[in-house]
Amino acid sequence: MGKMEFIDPAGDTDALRVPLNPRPKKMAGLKIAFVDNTKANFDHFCDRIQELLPEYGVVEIKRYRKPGRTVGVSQAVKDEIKATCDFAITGLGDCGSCTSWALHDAVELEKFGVPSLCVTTTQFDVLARVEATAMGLPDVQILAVPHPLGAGLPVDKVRLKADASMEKLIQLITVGE
Amino acid sequence: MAYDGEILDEIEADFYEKGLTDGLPIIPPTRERVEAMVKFNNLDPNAVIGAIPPRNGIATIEKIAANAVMAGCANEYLPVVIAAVEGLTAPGFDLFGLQATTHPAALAVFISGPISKTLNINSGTGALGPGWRANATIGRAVRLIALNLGGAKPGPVDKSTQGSPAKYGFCFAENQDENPWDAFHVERGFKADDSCVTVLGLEGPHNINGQDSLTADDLLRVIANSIISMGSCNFRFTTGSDLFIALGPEHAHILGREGVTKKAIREYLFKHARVSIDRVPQEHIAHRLKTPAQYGEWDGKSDIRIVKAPENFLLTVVGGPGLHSCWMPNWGGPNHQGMTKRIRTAR
Repeated sequence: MGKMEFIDPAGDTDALRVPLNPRPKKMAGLKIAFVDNTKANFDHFCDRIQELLPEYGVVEIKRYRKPGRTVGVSQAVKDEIKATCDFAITGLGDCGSCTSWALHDAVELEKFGVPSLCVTTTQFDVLARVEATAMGLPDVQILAVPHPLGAGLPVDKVRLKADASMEKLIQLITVGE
Repeated sequence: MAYDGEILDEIEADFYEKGLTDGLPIIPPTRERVEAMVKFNNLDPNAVIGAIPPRNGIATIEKIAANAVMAGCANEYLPVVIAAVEGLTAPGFDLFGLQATTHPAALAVFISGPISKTLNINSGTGALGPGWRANATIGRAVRLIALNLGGAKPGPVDKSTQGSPAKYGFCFAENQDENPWDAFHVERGFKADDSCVTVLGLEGPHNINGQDSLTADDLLRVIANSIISMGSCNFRFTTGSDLFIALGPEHAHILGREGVTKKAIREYLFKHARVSIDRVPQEHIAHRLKTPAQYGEWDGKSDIRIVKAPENFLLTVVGGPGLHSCWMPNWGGPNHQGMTKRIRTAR
């Protein structure tokens, strides 16, 4: 039997590699947008982050809520964020399809010129990274919060997880990974 | 990819270890086999059907054929698999969300039209089960494409909490000989002698045992009360998701002989298949009212419908003798619609 050749069933992708936007140098004076996909508890998580961010000099926080978890962020919201904010935080990726679309929002905003990051839980950050790579933004920032964060977790525990995420969040916003 | 070895076991193990299989043995996609399949169908191996998310592997005819060979498809099945890929990649299917979902949705590949006889795709007894090469391998080829081109590895990417046996392969055909109504694809605007594939993200079949039903009224009552599962995504997300019902032939005959049209079935189910509000937990009611774009419009007081409109009940006839039917709940993504594509054969 001679040499056997196989066709690779996975093959090529058409992924490009788009660099991230420059990150802000410091937190002071920043205006930050949250894009909430309505997943349970993400509002409480954002509430706590919103309480803490002024301590770092953030001057304004805008809250956007998508109509649902498995739709992309609208052009109108992207336009408004670009015109009025320095950074965007999307989330929450704590299930399969909601991770896909929250990550999609961070990628779309980043490609639109807004430095962004996506909040997932630690069970869904690998999925988000695979998707980011396929969408041409392999370096997109992902803040992975210990799973679970969503339904079933009491609000006080959600707030504690927000507290514990702050250091990493600030690091991601200002200096990248 | 090239091997000097001649040992089939080694090839097997290598494909498995590279994560290119569904766990079952595969037919090695040798260049000869893949080229023969493409040539048999008189197709251009480099023609691109689309990119399979989330990995966005490029689904050329050659790559589709490589996966079809691995699944065990006969050469003449390739056009069916290609039409399925056209459906998966069509705008409005949201394969991007579906591939990653924690829900156990499988990629249902439903075939209607005369090709089911030409290719011996089972539409009769056991059509949703094992024993037929076409059903087993066409469904499997679509799963391998989702895995390999789409990168939907169970665990890191395919996040289905429990998975589903339907994810190995979920291909079945309409039993037109026993169907009292127009073929499924005719309802969707295709010609009766066309053959079509409809792809849809569905759970595996749930039985509807209607063994004591003698009249259409009795039977419709059994069906209506079988499909109002509070744990189904059809109930959770009524934003336009379809709910698939495959009537067994004997059930279809009960409805057919009384002259009940599909339209009448849909209207009956739309009216009667609703979840009584006094059974619904408060947490769900609160979520539903807060995010209507995800859960569907609802007045907050009526019994809750399980589809947005009567047209979301998709009806067909599948199977052989016996008084069983089944329903298949939808994945429930608000941008996910079933896609019907015509199968184009060269011969």
